[in-house]
Amino acid sequence: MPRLTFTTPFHGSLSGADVPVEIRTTSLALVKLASSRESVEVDAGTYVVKALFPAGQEIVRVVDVGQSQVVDLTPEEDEVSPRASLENATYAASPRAASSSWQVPKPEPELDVSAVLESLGPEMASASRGDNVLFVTPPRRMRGTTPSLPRAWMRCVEANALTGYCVIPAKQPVIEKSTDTMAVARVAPSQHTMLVQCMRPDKPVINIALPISGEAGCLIVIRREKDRYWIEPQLENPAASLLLGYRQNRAIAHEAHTAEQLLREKMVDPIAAVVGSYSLLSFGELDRLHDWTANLMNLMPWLPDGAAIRGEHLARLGQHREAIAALLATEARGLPIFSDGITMVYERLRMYLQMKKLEWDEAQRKAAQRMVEHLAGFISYVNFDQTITTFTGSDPTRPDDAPWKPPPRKSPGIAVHDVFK
Amino acid sequence: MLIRDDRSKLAGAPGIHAFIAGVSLYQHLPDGGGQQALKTFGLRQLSSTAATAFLVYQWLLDAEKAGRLPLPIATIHLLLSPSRGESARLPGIATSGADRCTRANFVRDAFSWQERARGSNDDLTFFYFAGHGVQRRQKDAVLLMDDFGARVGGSLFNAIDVHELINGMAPPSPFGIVAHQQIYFIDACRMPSSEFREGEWRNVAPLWDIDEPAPDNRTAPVFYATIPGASAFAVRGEQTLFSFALFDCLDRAAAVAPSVEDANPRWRVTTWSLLSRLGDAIAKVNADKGGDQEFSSDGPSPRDVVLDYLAEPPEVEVLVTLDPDDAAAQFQLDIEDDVGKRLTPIAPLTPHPKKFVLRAGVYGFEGKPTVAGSPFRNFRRLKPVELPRCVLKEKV
Repeated sequence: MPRLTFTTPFHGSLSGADVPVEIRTTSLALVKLASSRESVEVDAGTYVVKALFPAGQEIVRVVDVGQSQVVDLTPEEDEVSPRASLENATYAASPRAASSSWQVPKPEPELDVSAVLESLGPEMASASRGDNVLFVTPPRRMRGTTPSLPRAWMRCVEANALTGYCVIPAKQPVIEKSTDTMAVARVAPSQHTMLVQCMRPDKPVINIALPISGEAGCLIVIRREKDRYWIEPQLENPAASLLLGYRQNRAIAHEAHTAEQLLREKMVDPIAAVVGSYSLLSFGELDRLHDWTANLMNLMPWLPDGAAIRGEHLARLGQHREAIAALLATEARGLPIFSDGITMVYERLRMYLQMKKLEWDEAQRKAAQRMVEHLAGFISYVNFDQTITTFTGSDPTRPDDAPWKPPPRKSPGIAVHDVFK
Repeated sequence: MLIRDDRSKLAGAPGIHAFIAGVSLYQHLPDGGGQQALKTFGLRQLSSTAATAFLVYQWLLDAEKAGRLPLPIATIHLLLSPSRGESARLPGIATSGADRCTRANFVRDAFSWQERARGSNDDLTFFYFAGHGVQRRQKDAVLLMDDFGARVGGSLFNAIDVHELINGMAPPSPFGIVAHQQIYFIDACRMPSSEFREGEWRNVAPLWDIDEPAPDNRTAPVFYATIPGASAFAVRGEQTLFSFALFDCLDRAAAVAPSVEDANPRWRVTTWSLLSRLGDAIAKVNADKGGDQEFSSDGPSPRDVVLDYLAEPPEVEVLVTLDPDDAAAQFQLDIEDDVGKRLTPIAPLTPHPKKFVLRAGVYGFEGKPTVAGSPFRNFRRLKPVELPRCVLKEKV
């Protein structure tokens, strides 16, 4: 029987990464969802072979299979990564970062749509956070363009947003310009929870959690757009980076397939293990999680997501008292690096507080109440569209959406605009 | 109101338990006919949400009749508070048997729906609400019943907390029997009113007691018509933007092909395919109707649940672009399907780019000039025609 094997465009930062590959008949029925590293046996015939990268590049080949052959999964020329070191940024990024449509201002509607449409809620002027032009959230309507390079600064802080601890390390990552529109900063491994703060005059400060551990750092990718910058942390682990990309972009079937692949690999990178665990929880693979979540929580006592994941896992298994203890342990560790973790802790504790028949240890009940109220304060400023925890506030321990004013003399951080001059 | 109960006909076989509610006429908002609320939070009467809920109900019945649902319908709870315009436009609302969507009726039906959904783990529940919604903070969604604003308690007394609704549908201790496939559609705003302060979040009257659940591995995706902190919209006197997109997805745009191993060989719309494609469908509705809405989703989705089947592969828009443009007037496009059947040729390819529709599948496209001595060259290509759209660009 002939075999299909695949080549990918991953030779640099995504080298060794495995992407899901669909093999379909000419009526588009799915024959198999394979992996790009696999060799697949098929009957002779005509097939559609398709790979989807998280950033949205779609590679489609119609192949006549008579004998074994290699299918090339390199995208079109204009979608290929400009260099090997930028593969992660090119193929695993959020498509909203890469899409040119976000760089083009949408025209103002000619009609007064309020005459035609009605709101299913309070009539308000655009004071909602959904209309704010945040640093990393694409505006739904870009009103005009600013011709000059926008001024912006960036810095990393070490912080436990829940306990109030916040320090600005003297050593900051160096930003290196890679292309005219892309720059990359490398963040070193650390066993402390860290955030990158992104500052623009008269806009709220954006805080983005950095997915790093003692074993692995991360990249911060900065894309220059017409009147703003798009900033996105990227994992160094290629498989976890792809998984996170699929998750961010709601490519669920691909996420499910990639999560399974990740499970088969040895998890030496705790952040990769966290990403895999979130996916497996989403897919209800409670049995496959085994003791993984207990190990993640116990072996990484600084990692907030370890406690959040363990708590959620136990809750799903019906072990509610143990779940409560795990969820409460998050507070000392900090705000979870991934927004799913915030949701899990908040929603579960809220649910437990609503249960009338649950027998509480009084100290635990008070701690849960306090934690829910504390998290409620953060949740108002978190952008849950982003998989990595992202929220506004000049002081990351006290979130708000106050516009930021640059200090008169002191540089607040790394000048991003200088990088692209 | 429980307007349909076919459980005895099903004799224990799994089925769909639908709970659909839509509110347009709010008794205690201006022009509602009742005593005006002390605080209206800037809310006005609606003209399309009850109609939307009724259309969802109709869609379910039509899909059932066409044999498209994954399970037979077991029960339907329907609550509608229509405006006068909707009642006139859709006389079926009056004869549907639905009660008004007051808080008392909603609570009654929620308990009834919950009880019926606890018949089997293999059942599927389907919840749809269209009407006013507010948000007290992020990760919150509160649905306003038609007697919202009645002077009987706090501001949000006649309202329902969505998360409480969903938590109450978890598997109950000790045996944990409840429909493990639960789909929620929340077609309402998630706008914060400046008058909701954090301390007021306790003021939504509890829907039910949340008991300690059994192990919970439900598939329970929640589809919100809008992102937190933003508005949802409707075309006045018609239906909501979200529902336009949802119907398009259920009938075509979110369809995916079966696997070769599937016992049922039909194309289908699933929870995962809906999650992937609903954004594009809403963007299309926004472009058509002048809206500016983005959907969001929440809730665990461990299994890919079939929502409905299609009778045929979906129609896909095909766009053919030739370079240079002026070749289009002198070109013919021959099309052959995957079993070699020739379709009607298309000539000329104007207006350019040329748009037409084909059913999803792989096709052979052959383009050739129609004028003797033409400087343009032929092309031949085998290409899959897939959702959301097929683009064929050729340099000739």
